[in-house]
Amino acid sequence: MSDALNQVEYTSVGGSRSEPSLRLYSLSTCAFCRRAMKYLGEHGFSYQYVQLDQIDFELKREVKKELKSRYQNVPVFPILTIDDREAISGFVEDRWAERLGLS
Amino acid sequence: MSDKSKTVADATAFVDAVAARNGWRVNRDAEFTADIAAGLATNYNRYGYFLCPCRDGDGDRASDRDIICPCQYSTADIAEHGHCFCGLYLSESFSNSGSNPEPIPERRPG
Repeated sequence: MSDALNQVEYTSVGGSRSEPSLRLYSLSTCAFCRRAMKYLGEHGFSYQYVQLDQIDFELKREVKKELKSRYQNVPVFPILTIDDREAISGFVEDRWAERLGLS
Repeated sequence: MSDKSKTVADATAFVDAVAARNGWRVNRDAEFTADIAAGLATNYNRYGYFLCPCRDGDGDRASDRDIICPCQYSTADIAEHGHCFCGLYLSESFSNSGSNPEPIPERRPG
């Protein structure tokens, strides 16, 4: 595996909650992505993110391919990976609260 | 900035015109809608067309043609879910309901 997910330069956002380990795959142009980042910030999560529309095109393709192969059903941005084990695709607040242990 | 570049105000005017032409309403959440208009302007200035800001395109007009705003899926999505994939364009009844758009399934193949 090319492991494109680890070749990406992520930006880290600090917060009081360091568990679980979160990575957000976002588009800088996407309003739901912006809302998701605000949500993570408001709940004090530490996370890493990358704006996929702002990175090298070939690397982006690899990242998308790898996300699809690892997590299958991830068609909608933003994509949040949790502990490198599971992924949520699309920001639906109730679903995120449940998966992040907030509800 | 070249003469052909678009401002957020240009993108907002485009959105309003698309909505009026199709009998749709624009999401009244001003912050959310402003984010989408800014995304549209960014994509226009990057690619030369209003690529859907909620999707990742190839940056090639031919392969992105189905996801240029208003995308080819918006009519079906608005009919089924009350709003487009981005939550930007709403049906009149969804708009009147006061509900907030939430992410819907991707209708685009692939």
